[in-house]
Amino acid sequence: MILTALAAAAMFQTNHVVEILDPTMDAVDIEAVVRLPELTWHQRGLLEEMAGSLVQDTPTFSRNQIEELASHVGQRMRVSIMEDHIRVSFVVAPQDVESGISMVGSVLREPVFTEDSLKATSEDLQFRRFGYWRQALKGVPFDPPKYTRRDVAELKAVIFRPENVTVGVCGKFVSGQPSAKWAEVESQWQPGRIPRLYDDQAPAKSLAKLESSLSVFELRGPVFTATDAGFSTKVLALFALGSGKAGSLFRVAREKLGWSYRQESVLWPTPTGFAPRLLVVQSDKTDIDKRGETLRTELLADVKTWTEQDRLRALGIAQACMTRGVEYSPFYFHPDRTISSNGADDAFMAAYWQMKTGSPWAPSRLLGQMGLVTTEDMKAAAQEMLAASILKTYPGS
Amino acid sequence: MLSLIACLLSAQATLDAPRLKTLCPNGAVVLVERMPREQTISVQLWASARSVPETPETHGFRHLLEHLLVKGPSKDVDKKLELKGCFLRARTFRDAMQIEISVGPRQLDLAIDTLKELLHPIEVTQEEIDHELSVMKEEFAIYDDAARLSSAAWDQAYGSAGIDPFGDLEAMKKATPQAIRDIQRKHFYPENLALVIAGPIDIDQATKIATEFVGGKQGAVKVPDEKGPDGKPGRIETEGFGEGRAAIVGGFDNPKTAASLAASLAVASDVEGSFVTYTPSAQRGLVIVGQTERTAGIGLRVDELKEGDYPRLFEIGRYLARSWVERQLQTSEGVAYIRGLLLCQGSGFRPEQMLDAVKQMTYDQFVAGLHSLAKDRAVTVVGR
Repeated sequence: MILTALAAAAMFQTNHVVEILDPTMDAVDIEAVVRLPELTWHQRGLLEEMAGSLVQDTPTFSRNQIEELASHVGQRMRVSIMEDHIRVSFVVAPQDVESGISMVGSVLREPVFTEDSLKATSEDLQFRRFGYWRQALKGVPFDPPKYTRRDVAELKAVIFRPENVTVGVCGKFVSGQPSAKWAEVESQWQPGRIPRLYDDQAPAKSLAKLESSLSVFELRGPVFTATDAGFSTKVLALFALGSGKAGSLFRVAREKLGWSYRQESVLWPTPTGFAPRLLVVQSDKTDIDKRGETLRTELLADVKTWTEQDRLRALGIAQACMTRGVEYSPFYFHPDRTISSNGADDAFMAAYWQMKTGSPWAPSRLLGQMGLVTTEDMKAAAQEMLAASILKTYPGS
Repeated sequence: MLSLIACLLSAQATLDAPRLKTLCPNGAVVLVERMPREQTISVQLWASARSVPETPETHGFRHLLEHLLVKGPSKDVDKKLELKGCFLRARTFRDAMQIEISVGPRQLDLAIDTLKELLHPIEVTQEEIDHELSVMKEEFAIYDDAARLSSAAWDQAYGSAGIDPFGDLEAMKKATPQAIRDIQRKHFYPENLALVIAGPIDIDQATKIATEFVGGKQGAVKVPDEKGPDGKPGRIETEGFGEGRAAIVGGFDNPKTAASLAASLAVASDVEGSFVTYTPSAQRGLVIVGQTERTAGIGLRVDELKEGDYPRLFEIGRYLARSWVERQLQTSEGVAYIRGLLLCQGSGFRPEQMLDAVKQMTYDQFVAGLHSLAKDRAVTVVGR
């Protein structure tokens, strides 16, 4: 669906709205993506609380009104936060598109962060227990921050600005309607000057252990950007290393060493680009440092044996993931899952890629570039990635 | 070729465009559905578990078979498929084993050839079994909290008749190559099989290929379906984090089952981070609504429901239940999944029966569905 959808989307794209018309859908997915800058440890904690408190009464809409609209299709407005963006997802009935966009706009334009709502979110984030995979992917704990009202107001003024927001809309609607409605939201948005944020110099904390009996270790490679000349080579190498059941990671960590049932390659968004990550889950927490180094050595040896077949396999998987929505994609642009091919993720990807790179998401173009990568280049990229990776361990409790 | 002709001549084919179901003389069922807009052809072979009930002695042998089988005789099935951008996935359910191959348009032959390869009598050594058990130990370790809650709820409701298809690692250690071969032979009796092909395919051509494949297998003794025990409500604690309620339900097409499913989905929509688990079955089963990120919320939500909440929940629940079934029928993988799962349990079973039950659900039935989650009627499952 994504290719046809994006062909249509090109016709209906403004700077901040991408429309994907799909008359076969019985609902409309509205996805707003808010760009995040690099934040300090303290700001990050506060923003997590703010993101969790977004769906509240606003000056224009009550929470009940938002929930009432959502109940037409049985979905609540959802908010997730990653290192480089906040994602607001709202599914509405086709006749509710304009109201839905107004509500998403209101939540981002005029959010009300009360002490009670921030406190409730903080408690929720402290006591809620996410699965081992999500904890390991995030890699850092939630640290309830101390803050003043001024901190909240300044962070709000820095983040929640129209120029930071890109909206993707997918489903059955009148072409141009979402863009016009969003333009209306933007016209009412007066964010004021950008304040200079206070940096308390608090050092970032790392995740000491998982709230799980399982342990995870990872090899995390250097961050690269979508505009790097070697972007397609690096992404293809990541597919070859860790996607599918005939990839190096599966071959080594599961079949050869028998260490793990779950091992995956991950392309993880950061404020400055994307980090390639290879994660291995295991029940045994002893010697995970040693195992991480063994894994690196074994993977480097495996990469040396790659042939044209490995390149074709990686390309085959990449094509299946990007054009047919097959689930082996390393594109972890959500706190605990990869991006798939459905209305919500299509709308999200259209908005996210535009926000992240300034260009439309064009899987066929990326696949075309990947198709030109040689086996030797792919091997070199994988070896470089592995050699430069840092080992991170998250032992189980 | 003779068997193919015999199969085609005597097949009771019913065409409900764009879908063709074929009942082969040996008992296997083939269903082909054309979905021209789909990018993927999903080929799913379903084998009912009616001939291979789990017992304490063989608990998990089916799951172990699944792991060993899908490697293929030359242990290179995944590599051959992935090279062409195709994938294999297998799962062991209480009612059946599923082998799913996803291929692109014009790759149907590759999927069928792969399945043919997999159905050869398995050649496996004790060493390979032992190695796979070490991987399954890791699989068990990552068994998520939702699965653990679900497994405990089944234990409470159905006892030994509801034991988890994952299996018991201790019992599996006693598996031998011969025992695995026996399980394979019985599991894949032709009358246990349903082969569903959905996607951008030519119906006649795909039906011909599929019936030649499963219709030509030798028959075996028909094993009657046995009626399982009635479910028992109660409270159970289990390893894992979270909590939930499980409604004890009848077959998938029973209006009460549809109501419990709608009620569970409606309750879940009110609690962030919650889940609903239901695998459509002709047998009695459970609809489970739970959560794994907190230790309280679902049970409280159910117990605190007021009559004033019912009308809103009725609308949401009916919409979500209908969408759940309809969504399955919108993708090739979903179609092959739900049709295969039901067809291998009975050649007359269709997801539309479930959809009808949801669409015809009355307000009173829905309220009864909510009540099926009440403490005294449902299973309450709590992580510790």
